[in-house]
Amino acid sequence: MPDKVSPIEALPAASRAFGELRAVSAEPRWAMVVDLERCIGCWSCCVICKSENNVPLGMWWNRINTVGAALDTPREEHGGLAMHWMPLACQHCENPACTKVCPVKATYSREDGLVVQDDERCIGCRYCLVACPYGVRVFNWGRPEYPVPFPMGMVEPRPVGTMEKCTFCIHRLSEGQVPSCIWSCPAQARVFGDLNHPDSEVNRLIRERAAFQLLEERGTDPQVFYLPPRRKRGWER
Amino acid sequence: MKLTRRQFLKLAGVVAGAATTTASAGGLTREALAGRSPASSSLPVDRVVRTTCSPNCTGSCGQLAFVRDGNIVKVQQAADYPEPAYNPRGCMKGVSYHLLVHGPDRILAPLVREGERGSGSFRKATWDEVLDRIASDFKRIGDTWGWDTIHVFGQVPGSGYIQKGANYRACAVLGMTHGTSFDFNGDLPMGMPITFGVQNAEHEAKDWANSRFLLVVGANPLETRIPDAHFLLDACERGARLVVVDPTFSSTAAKADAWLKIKPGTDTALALALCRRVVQTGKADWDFMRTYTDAPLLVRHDTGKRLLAEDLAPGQAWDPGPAAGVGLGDYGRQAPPLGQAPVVPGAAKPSPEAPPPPRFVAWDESRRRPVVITTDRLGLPAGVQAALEGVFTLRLADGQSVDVTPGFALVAAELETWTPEHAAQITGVPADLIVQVADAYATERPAAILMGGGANHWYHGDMTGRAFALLASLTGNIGGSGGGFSVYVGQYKVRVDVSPWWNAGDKKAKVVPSIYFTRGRTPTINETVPFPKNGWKALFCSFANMFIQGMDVNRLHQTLADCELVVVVDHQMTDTVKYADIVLPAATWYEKTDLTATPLHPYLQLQQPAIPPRGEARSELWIWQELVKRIDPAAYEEYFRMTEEEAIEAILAKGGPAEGITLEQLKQGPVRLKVPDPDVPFVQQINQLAPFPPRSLPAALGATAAFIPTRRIEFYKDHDRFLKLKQAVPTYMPPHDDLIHEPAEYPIQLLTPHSKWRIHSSYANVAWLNEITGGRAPVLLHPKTAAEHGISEGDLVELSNTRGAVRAWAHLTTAASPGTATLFEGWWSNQLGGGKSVNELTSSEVNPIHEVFNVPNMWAPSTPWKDCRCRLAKVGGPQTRSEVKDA
Amino acid sequence: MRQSHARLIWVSLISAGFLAGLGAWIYQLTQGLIVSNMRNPVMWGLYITFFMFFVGLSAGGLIVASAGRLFGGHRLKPIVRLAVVEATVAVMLAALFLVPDLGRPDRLWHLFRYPHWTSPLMWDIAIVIIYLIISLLYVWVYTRADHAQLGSRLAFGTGTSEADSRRDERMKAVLAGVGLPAAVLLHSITAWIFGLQLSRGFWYTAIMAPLFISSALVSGTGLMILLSLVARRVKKITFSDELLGFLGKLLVTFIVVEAFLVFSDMLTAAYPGAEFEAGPMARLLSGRYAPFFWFEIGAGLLIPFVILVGGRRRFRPPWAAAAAALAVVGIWVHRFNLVLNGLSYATITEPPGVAIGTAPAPGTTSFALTQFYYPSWVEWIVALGLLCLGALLFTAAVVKLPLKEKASQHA
Ligand SMILES: Nc1nc2c(c(=O)[nH]1)N[C@H]1C(S)=C(S)[C@@H](COP(=O)(O)OP(=O)(O)OC[C@H]3O[C@@H](n4cnc5c(=O)[nH]c(N)nc54)[C@H](O)[C@@H]3O)O[C@H]1N2
Ligand SMILES: Nc1nc2c(c(=O)[nH]1)N[C@H]1C(S)=C(S)[C@@H](COP(=O)(O)OP(=O)(O)OC[C@H]3O[C@@H](n4cnc5c(=O)[nH]c(N)nc54)[C@H](O)[C@@H]3O)O[C@H]1N2
Ligand code: SF4
Ligand code: SF4
Ligand code: SF4
Ligand code: SF4
Ligand code: SF4
Ligand SMILES: [Mo]
Repeated sequence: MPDKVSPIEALPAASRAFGELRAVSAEPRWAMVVDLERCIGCWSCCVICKSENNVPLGMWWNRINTVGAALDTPREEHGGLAMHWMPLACQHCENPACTKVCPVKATYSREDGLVVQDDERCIGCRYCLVACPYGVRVFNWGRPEYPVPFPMGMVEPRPVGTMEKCTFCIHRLSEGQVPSCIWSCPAQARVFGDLNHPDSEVNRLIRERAAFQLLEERGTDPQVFYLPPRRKRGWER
Repeated sequence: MKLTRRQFLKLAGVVAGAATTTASAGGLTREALAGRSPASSSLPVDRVVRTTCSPNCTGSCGQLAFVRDGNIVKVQQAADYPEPAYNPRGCMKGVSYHLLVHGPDRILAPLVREGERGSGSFRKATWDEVLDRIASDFKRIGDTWGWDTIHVFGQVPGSGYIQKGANYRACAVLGMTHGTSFDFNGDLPMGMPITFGVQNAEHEAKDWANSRFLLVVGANPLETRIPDAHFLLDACERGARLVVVDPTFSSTAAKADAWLKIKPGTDTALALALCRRVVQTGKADWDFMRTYTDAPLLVRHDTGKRLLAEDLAPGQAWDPGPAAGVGLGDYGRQAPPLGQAPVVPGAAKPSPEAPPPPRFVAWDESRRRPVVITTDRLGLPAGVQAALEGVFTLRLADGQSVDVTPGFALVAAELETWTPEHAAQITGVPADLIVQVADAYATERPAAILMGGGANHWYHGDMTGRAFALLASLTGNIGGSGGGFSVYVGQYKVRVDVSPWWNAGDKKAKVVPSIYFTRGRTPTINETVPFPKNGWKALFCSFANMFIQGMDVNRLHQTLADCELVVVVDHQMTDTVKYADIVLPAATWYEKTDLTATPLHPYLQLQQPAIPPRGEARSELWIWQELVKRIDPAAYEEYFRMTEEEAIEAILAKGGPAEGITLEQLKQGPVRLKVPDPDVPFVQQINQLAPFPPRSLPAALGATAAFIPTRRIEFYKDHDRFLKLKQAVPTYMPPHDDLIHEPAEYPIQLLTPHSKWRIHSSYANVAWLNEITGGRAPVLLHPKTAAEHGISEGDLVELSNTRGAVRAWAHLTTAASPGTATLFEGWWSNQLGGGKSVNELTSSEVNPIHEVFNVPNMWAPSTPWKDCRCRLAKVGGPQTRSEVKDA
Repeated sequence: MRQSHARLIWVSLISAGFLAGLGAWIYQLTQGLIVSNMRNPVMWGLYITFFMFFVGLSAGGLIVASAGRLFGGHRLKPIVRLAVVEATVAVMLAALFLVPDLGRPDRLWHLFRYPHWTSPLMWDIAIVIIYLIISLLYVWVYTRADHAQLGSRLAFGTGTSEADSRRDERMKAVLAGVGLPAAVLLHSITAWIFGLQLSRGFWYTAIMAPLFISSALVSGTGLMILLSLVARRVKKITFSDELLGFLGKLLVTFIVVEAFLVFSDMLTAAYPGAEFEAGPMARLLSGRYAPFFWFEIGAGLLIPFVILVGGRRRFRPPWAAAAAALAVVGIWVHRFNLVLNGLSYATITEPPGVAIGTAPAPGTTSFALTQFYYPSWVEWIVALGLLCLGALLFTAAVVKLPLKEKASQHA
């Protein structure tokens, strides 16, 4: 068997440069910005998340909600039709509803803002799943099922009976690379970076583009920020 | 403010915790936790291989395959294009391809049919057995009926010059007939060769971002151009206006500033009304029309033909000589000095025996006499003020006098009828919206027209193309960045000179437009089509899911019944594979070497094997090598003892757009072809007054130049068949299937656009994607249409016409136009509620205009997928969905 | 002889039930919670319902016992021992019902190794343990004299002297003082498991704790009536029909309080008309779970109220038993409804909804906005097993412990 290498070190140079985290401070605070105008609802970010993190069938750490009537179906709005897409994964809340309720600290906040999940400690009570207002956690109800007969992705699978969710691709951050969903968004609708660095792209977008947080009124204070869809340049009719 | 709230929240947490315990709630560092911290690095892999995704898509996206223990464990965009705007190319399908490489439908061994054709019952066989059998059957059929009765069909070679090229090379060597794909797919925008003399020519996607106005007609780039869709959004971000013309509120319409909800098949009427408004409001760019188009060239009233300089009585016309054209206004600034004709790349040296090129005539207002216009250079002779209207009486060489009129006057006469109100009646688009769009299109420059399958896939799709080309020309939006009339359908483009590989020395494959495989010989067929005199006796189908993606499949099955041998090469157990007598297991794109390109971006790329072919799978080149070896060992020695890499090097050595590119460079990543940046068509024509058309590879320039004898953008077609069918100028022609299926009896217009979730039928069996969609075919119906037919959400419905019937499940949405049913193409039969494919219903009618010339993939019959009427009926209630659903 | 025969059948039956439950649980252990019908949209179900229900029963039992003591309800004396036994068994069952609900019961010890005190679940576990200890002490104090008299080891060396019984009385007073707040707290905390979740509009209300207490009282009293009648039937205790009537009066009072709180909760949620709260409320009245709600109101509150409110019916064992049984079942349904309706409403309502968590059936997707949950057979059998275990424990207590109040101690 050939000697194994880190998939990040093995990247061709140009690809590796593409994924590099930029404008990172000494004590980063990670955040994501999703531009709802740019999102085309393609689910590439969701599918690559499944692939990267070896997420079993029936489970998604990341999904695309259609702001409409059904999947890719518009709804009536102001006498016309309207639709846009809203990607949704763990919001890595500053004040997470999930960590508070975990009886064993199996899910907790890190200093860099990540809300992580320790699958070795989790007792599978699913209280965090109850508590999270965003519906982004997924539980291993049974033995994970996969569409291919070997483990995929770049991280270990999670044991049965435990909770999992988006990790902000923690395994990539530590190697200086953006999360996989950021990499794979063909519409360049997702941006990742350090809130503590004044020049980071996330800071710029949040400043300039009327960024909002999801369910802001619930006070969970997500580290995922959304840029609203643009106003259409229709004709006065 | 925010900080105080945060502090408060923290405090609240501590208080809540302290209320029941003395344990502190703070300080949750990783170190404080004894359990496993989430991984801090990725699991290692064996290697990462840069390759290219190449289904029958237009993406050609660079991908990385991550290999561990011999399996592909992740596919992710390479994102290594030197231009950041192109990174990352790819979509959710591309990054799930390893599920097909390793999935349950993968074919891993040669198979021989055991049951009935179509029963799907096969036994495993050895390569030797199947190769011997195919070789001997081919020899027998070839000797009995002729080798040309063997039809080799392979989809769009643009996405794999080498492996798909092997098909062509084998046909060249052995004499089988190769089918075509671009026209078979209905993607060949016949308006293009008719108007510009090219097979198709579009702007590279990056250039969309440079537009100020984007008119998207019958295309849904948000779903069918996923890697490029963001260029539309870039343009909007910079203030451009996006207008979408579509009967359905598509994903793209959802992003648009305005949605023109058009009645299907009426786009030509809309285009003509837009043209009329541009002319009427004085916004037309007459300099452009005079410099580059046939607008000023005179047409005879008696014959309808163009007046040739030779026809005129000597001395009647002023003849400034060849290469006398100058551009008007700002046009043609980089033209060579007067008297010198611009050189068109690929133009053959004029042979002395060839008849001299025709010379045409315009009416010069300033001299008040006719002027001779040559075809070696665009523009008009200096000082000529060419008339675009009026009737002039001229004396002919034979002494007669004849009334003539500028070609544009005939176009204008047609436009005259297209008032906004008239168009509104036909198209259903409100008149005031037509006016607004026309005014904005004409003034917000540069303005681009992006046309797609929805507008092109019609029997009279050529007219739609011609009408929108007219709109772009009237406003001078041709040949410049951000403008253009681009048709994005299919991955047809052969961007480098592939002749060293596709041809075997001097021998070239005989090519027949594949629609004739389904349709048989038509009465109007172009006599130069090498239709086999004994009909079709065998099919060798590779890279295609022909029996569900092909048109009018029930008729196709009739041809099939005559075939003594059906061989299908594929790597997935598709519906087509099930009808094969012999199935050959193909290597996937991640298991072989190939060279790929696309019209959407100007990069040449390699496909490189990430893993060896699984099981018994083999590359197409290997298959042909083995077959040719068995059929004609000498030919094998001469033409097929070659590796993929040698074939690539032979192509690169031909230079042209590939000049300077080496295999070594390609192994590292994508290399930009030698084309303008941004890659915009007709630049040479616009800037240097070079005559139309530029070359369409792989055809010789002469073959396509014949399409436009004036060597200008042609809106007036004086070919006999155009005149006879009253299609000389862009004219609205109602949908053709209305003549076959009386609308009163077949009230539903069936639309079969391309689904975002698949590339045609490819990826239809990706478990992840089916987790999102349910993997079951919906029919989009307007609630009103549904109510009229007593249909509710989720009901099983049947769509039927005289050609066939298919069943799927109703999905009610106001996004659909009343009177239409939308069933996306590409569902496998097991994902339908009944029927082989939606293409049981679609038509294989051949438009005789498309037979005027025969240059396959350039001027050939283009399939009218969307031109299809049907009936709609409920046949069953909704099936119970999963128990965990709330209805 | 006859009675022991019946007892044998009874014990065999419930033992068999317990073993079946054990088997089902082992099966669940091997497969994971996938054998339940819980999925990500409705991630709590039957087990949690029973957990809440038994917490309620236990609290109810102890409140009855302690209240009797504290507020001089000497009339209750004949059934106090039974009440504390009931409370003890119920709290044990409540705790046990948490175990099959865990994805990783093998990691139960993590609760003690890595307790996280911001979690209401942790508070609950703490109070359940405290409460269990109090209940056991209760049982012991009430039966200690008898043990001593019989020379049982359960007397832990205490005697039968006057001093001993004086200490008993002191301890009973202290326990009543501690037990009542503990019971109230137990229930409040259980309520807070739900009531503090701002992600669930249906639960997120300050009235949750009072509501839990009132329903605990209803179910606890109801079960007391039932168990007392059974115990009297098997001649384990004696009491008069007057006492039965008194219990009925208590029950009807609690029912009225419960009904008032339910109404007040609903009005508060519905009045502003905000989707977050009114949505779930509307579903409750007319949605999928509406039949449960109307059962709870009709059979659980209204009918028992009618039976018990006036006249002499509440003094008649069959009527009292029927009313009590309905009230108990009504509260169970109320719990079930509380869990399911609370979970059936997602905060993010855009399609396609949350990932279900298991591979979807062909033709269906991985997502659902909500889910119609009903327990799987495994869940039912595990629950049945635990119920049988409870019955076993209770039977053992009834058989082994001296529950009859001594005449001497009546003085
Ligand atoms: N995801 C995905 N991408 C693809 C493909 C795929 O299969 N899947 N296939 C590739 C290929 S080979 C091709 S050819 C292209 C085709 O892709 P597109 O050019 O986008 O063509 P369609 O999807 O056929 O139709 C586009 C839109 O036309 C609308 N339409 C239908 N009838 C009419 C009409 O009469 N007038 C107008 N104005 N609009 C109409 C439909 O509602 C639809 O929204 O996509 C390429 N890209
Ligand atoms: N009703 C209706 N029908 C349509 C259309 C429509 O709009 N409406 N659109 C038409 C259009 S535009 C097009 S382009 C066609 C597309 O028609 P097809 O190109 O036939 O459709 P695909 O589903 O992409 O089929 C490609 C097949 O090639 C196989 N394949 C992939 N890679 C390889 C390989 O490396 N080697 C071999 N041997 N096989 C391989 C795939 O598994 C798949 O079975 O469909 C047309 N059909
Ligand atoms: S989104 Fe949910 S899971 Fe993620 S941190 Fe916030 S509350 Fe926790
Ligand atoms: S399921 Fe696991 S992570 Fe979630 S609350 Fe329970 S123990 Fe904590
Ligand atoms: S950050 Fe990583 S884990 Fe989270 S959604 Fe993106 S790809 Fe998935
Ligand atoms: S990949 Fe990008 S565009 Fe596609 S769904 Fe995700 S965020 Fe939206
Ligand atoms: S399927 Fe098409 S768009 Fe998607 S990655 Fe492959 S080539 Fe690109
Ligand atoms: Mo196509």
